[in-house]
Amino acid sequence: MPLRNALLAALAISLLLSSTALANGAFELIGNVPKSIEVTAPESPGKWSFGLGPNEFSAGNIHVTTNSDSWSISLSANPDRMTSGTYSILNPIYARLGYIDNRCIVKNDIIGLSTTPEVLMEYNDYLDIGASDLDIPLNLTQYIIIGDFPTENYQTTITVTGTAS
Amino acid sequence: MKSTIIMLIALTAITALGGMSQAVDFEITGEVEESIEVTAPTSPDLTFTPGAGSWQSAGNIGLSTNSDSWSIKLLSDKAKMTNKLGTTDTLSGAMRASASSSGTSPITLGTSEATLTSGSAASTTPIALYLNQTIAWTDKPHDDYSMNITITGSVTT
Repeated sequence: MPLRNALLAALAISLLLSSTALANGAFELIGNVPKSIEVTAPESPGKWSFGLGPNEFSAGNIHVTTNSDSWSISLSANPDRMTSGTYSILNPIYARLGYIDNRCIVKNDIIGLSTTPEVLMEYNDYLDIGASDLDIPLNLTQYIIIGDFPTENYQTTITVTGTAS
Repeated sequence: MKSTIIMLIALTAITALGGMSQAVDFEITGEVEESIEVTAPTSPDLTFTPGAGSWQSAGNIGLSTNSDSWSIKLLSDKAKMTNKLGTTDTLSGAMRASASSSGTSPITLGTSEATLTSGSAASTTPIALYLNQTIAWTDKPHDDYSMNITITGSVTT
């Protein structure tokens, strides 16, 4: 009998000490994951030497990371042509993709760079591959004519823009 | 003589009844229980971009309690947010919650209750709720990922 009473008392104490839920509320959380794209420009290449005529160089890779199934890469240059800042302005730079085996690249053009971004390539994930994590090889061509003043500090800055659509 | 006796008896009876008084007591007892009320924030609509994500405000949890020992717990109806309409795409990472904008002492939301915060004094101060969602590049973009969150206020007696 004393044991039973002790057990009942212990039970009562444990019930008193236990946590009691008295109220609650609820809400719905809505989340939006937008289409996103990140691009990384190639490392600035070392100084190129241009001879007369067309000069095509590999500028390295543009790296693209995106969750979008439809995206594009555009390029622009500022100034729009390579200049030494003093004497001469060269012809426009032309850009195209280097070799890449990817059937989802649906547009692959040669473009002349200007201060306005122009689409270099478009990607469409019609094969439902999913998120992209790609290196896009970039080739640049500078045409040199007899009248271009020889100097060693021609320069321009190229901007790479990724657009997810 | 007989009528005189009757009158005396009646007078005695009236006197006895008119002069009697009595006082009785009773006790009332009252109990103020430990109570807590919580209200959910207005359903927030948050944007999550790829990466570790930042701590975003999801509004306030309303709180009213007279208890000196209380806690607020959260649970969700699913382990991870799922696209509500059209597909069954599920985010790869779980949602985390904190009562601090810097994400101090975060909890991971899931189908089991986890304690967001607790207190040791009566309070009517709302509890700020901050949420963090890691997004992988492989998480498909949608604008209607969803989960239901239940807030439970508890007092310990």
